[in-house]
Amino acid sequence: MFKAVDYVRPKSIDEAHDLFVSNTNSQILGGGTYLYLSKRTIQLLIDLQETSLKYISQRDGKIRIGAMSTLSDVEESDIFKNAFNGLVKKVVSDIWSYQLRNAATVGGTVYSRLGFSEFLTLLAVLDVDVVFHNTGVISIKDFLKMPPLRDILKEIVITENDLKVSFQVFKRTHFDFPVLSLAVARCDDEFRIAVGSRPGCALLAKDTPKLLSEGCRDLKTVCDSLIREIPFADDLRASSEYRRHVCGVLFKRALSEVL
Amino acid sequence: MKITLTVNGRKENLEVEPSTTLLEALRMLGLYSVRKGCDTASCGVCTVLMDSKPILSCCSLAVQAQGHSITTVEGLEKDKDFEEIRKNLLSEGADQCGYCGPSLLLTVYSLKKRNIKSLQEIQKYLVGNLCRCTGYHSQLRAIKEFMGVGE
Amino acid sequence: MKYVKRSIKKVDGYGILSGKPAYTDDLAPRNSLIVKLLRSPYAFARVRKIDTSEARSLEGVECVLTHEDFPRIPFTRAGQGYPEPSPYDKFALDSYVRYVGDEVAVVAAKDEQTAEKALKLIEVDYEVLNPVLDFEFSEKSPPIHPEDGISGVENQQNNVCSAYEMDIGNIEEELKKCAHVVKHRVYTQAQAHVMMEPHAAFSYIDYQGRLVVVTSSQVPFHIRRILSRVLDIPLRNIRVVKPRIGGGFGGKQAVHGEIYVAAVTLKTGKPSKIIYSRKEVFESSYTRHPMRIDVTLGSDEKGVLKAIDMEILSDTGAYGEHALTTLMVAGSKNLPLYNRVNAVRFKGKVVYTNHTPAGAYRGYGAVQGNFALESAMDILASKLGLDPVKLRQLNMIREGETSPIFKIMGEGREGAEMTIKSCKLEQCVELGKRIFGWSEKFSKRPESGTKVRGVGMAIAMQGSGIAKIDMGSAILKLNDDGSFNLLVGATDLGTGSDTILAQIAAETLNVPVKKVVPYSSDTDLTPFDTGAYASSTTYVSGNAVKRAAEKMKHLIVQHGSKLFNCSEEEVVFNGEEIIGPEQRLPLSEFATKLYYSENQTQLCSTASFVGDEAPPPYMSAFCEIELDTETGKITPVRYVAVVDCGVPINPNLAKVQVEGALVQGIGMALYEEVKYDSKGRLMTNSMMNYRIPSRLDIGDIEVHFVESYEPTGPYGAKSVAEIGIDTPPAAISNAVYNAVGIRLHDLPFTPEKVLKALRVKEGF
Repeated sequence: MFKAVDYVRPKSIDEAHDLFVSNTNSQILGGGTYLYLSKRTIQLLIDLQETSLKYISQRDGKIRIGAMSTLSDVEESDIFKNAFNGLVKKVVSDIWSYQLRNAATVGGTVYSRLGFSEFLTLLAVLDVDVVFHNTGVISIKDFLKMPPLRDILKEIVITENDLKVSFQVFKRTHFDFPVLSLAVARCDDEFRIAVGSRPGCALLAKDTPKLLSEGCRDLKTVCDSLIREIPFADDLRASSEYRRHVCGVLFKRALSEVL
Repeated sequence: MKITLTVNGRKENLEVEPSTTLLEALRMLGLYSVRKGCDTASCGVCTVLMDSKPILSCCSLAVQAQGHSITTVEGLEKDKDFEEIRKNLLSEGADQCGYCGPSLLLTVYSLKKRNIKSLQEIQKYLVGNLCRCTGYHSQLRAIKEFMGVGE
Repeated sequence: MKYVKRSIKKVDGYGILSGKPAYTDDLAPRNSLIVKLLRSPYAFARVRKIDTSEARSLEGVECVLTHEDFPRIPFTRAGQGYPEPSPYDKFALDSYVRYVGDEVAVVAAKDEQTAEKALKLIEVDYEVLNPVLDFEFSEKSPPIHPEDGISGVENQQNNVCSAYEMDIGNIEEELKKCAHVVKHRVYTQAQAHVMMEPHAAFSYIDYQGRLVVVTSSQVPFHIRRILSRVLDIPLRNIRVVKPRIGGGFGGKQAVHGEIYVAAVTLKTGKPSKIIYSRKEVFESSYTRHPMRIDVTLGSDEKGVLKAIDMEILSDTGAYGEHALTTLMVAGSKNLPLYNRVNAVRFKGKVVYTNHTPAGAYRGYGAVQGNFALESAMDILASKLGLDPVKLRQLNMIREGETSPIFKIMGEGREGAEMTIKSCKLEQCVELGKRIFGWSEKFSKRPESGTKVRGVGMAIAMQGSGIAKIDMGSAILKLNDDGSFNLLVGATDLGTGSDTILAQIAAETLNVPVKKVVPYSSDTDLTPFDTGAYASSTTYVSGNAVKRAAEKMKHLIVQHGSKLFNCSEEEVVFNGEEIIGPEQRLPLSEFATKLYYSENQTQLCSTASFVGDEAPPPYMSAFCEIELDTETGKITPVRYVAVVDCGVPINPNLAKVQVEGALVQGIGMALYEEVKYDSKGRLMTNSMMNYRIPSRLDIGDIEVHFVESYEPTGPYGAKSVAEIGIDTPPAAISNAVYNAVGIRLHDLPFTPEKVLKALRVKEGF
């Protein structure tokens, strides 16, 4: 567990943001379910639970998830029972454990861009905007490439549409981080492919979607292309070589669902 | 800093640091059913109910829990559902070393309150409650009966 | 039988599930000093200098100890009968550190924060040495134990901790005559116990000036003896108490933090406690001995085994606890399965490395040996074109038979002759085969497609205590209300031994179980018991309880005859009443009279038991797996186990023991990967990275019992604690071969390894 000197619960996100930017050694506290692994000393812990960021709403074709909604809130919400044919619900329901999902926040999950995050891999291929208090709206595509922002993530906005989406994940046991996660979304001739837990976090492919858009349906070609353009590394769970292989397998399975 | 926690229906005053975990705070209050099993939010042994939902007290802060209602097994002594699931586990011999027992009981209890009916779903919700002694099957027998589910 | 063979609820279950304070940390005095250990960051180093002055002067620090503060007394941490068959190669603290996590210094402070801070203030000047990290090269490497003053090591210079060999008949000659010879090599990993409660101990000085140590331990009596030796204080001044334990599986069959809390308490006069972090449990307690095992089997054309040769190289890590004994058990608890061979040879060496020390772990060598032997049997079956079940049926041991190995190989020494008086292994195999549907599944053609199923089987045996060595005892005392206190040294790790021992006493006395109140594992108040290991409690401690209860019955009759003024032959005690020629008295009235009114005497009986033999439980295992040939992932589908443990004293508890052990074995076979980095640091040192099976990872498990009657066991019982873990590695490996024709031999069978093997087979 980290050491925190002071703790505060601001009543508004404005207040939270002011505290955050004026204290260089301050830390935003979502659920704290990953932060607790840190051993550093934090001067000011800013708990957002009273800043009214716990909501999931659906309007005008957009689903808005407040940053302090837990993964369980997403899993149990009526909105996600149906949205995207229940895929978001399914993916979230497989994350780590029920206890963790009851505390881990969407904001914390997205903001921290942790390598193993399955949720991020799925979000990466949907039409998602990440909304920051000060910086404003950033598309998930851009967000994934940016350096860390010293700003408070307020909500994510998912546009509902007819994307055909497939999510594939490989874990060694049911209760484990993924060895690899992969998502493919398709709208007519437009494809998006994200690979996560590489062990690095979700990365959107560039070349392979183009190949598919151009009509290439040869499995070996597109798989080889994906494996070539996505960087993999070794970690405790798997070697990069194995990840490359699994990537090909998961990609094949995803394509069979969207094509 | 001084905080007040609502635990098992009672208001408890405590002196804690901001980084005191909820687990540490509850044990300071003498609630020894809440135990530490690992360092990495990976075993479920420290599970308590916060606003009726199971959470891991090892990676929650005591200060975070202010304003919420915490339940441990000590607070469920008079609860009929709790008595029943405890009886079922005991009848199956599924209480071996007992270390993971209270955390499992709380999680199952919360599922009963939610009226989850599918065995598959129940198993999935319980995946975060690890056990090294029983091999899970005796627990499952007890839980199936309690939840009133078939295969 | 009224109380035995009953699945009664555990006597402590209600309290524990209600959260009553019962475990070590729950009971520690609130003002205990918190003890933390400074541990080596290097796999092998010499402590040139250690400066604790800054740490000592930190406010709130009460005590800092280094190797200079302990008498230099070598010992073994192993919780075994004295003289222990493990080398005395450890000092409480030493100027050498031999693995990452080895103890360097002890800090005791008023709270955890201060203790952690103090650890960081200790300055250690290490001379970093080259660690030995590959056990296959230990003998060619510089010694890890070059020091003087240790004993019991086979060859310090060559890093050989222990060695053993034996042979029966002429193995080379026999093999030459065999129509079929198969060879197989396997590797097993340093599996971690991952008991849910980390190691914990606290100590204080009581009002008699004695040291009291309360510890989560399987072996309180051994702890007392070891503390007496290491701290150089008389044994009579030490009391060791075991409260409830959150699991052990062998991981608590040794002394761990007890030495340090005791030393701190002796130095400061204050209560002190140590609670291991999970990281410390992984890095600095014990693991299973990783082994490399070579098996050679020779048979005639029909498949009748003529010769077995087994050679083992075992890695004991930095210290030699349990080294020789686990090596021997790998052979002694497997080779007799096929007892009718003409020649057997067993030899092995246990070597040191700079890894976390290996120690006792459920199965204790038997599971490693079983993996090798039962895989080799399947290879032979395949070569012969025989159904694997048939091959076992042709060769396995039967009731009434014996094996010379029983006499030759004990644990760390000679064993004891034994003719098998109870063995329903044949029936276990038949029943398992039928329930599982083996014949139909085994003969199915291998499927095509990406998900392929396969079936495999294995058989196993274990023991019931260590013959002629493990002793347990019991004291029964009658209370004035007609109830009994049952005092046993036997250690309940959550297994329910308190309960089943009460059942045995109840059965013998013919009183309801609730009238027998068990209290266990307190070196002052309970009689001696070696502790919970070697599957000894039901058989050894159970027999002691039965004897004590029989003595008590006789005492009751004796005093009844005094009371009724008649001869003993005229008195009957039926559990409820003492009946004389003219009177009858309910037990409670009798006891009240005996305490307060007439011939006042406390009735108290005591008995001990040592087995002349260690009658093995047996089991058959049949498993079905599904293999994803694209990813290499093996998913257990179904596991049928049929066990002969004699008469199960408590069928529910016996079943749960086997189920739990099976899942631990499945974890060893499939999921529990151990990784060290190139500097000898254990990387899989958290429950986040070291994955034990969750409830979704194990498939269906069905445990059945075939009852035999072991005449030397209490009410026909044998023990059952370990055997369940023995079969999964072999059964699963055999199932994979049946599915896709690859022979997995290196634990665990991770998807990555399986995929590699599949690709090799396909010619990549």
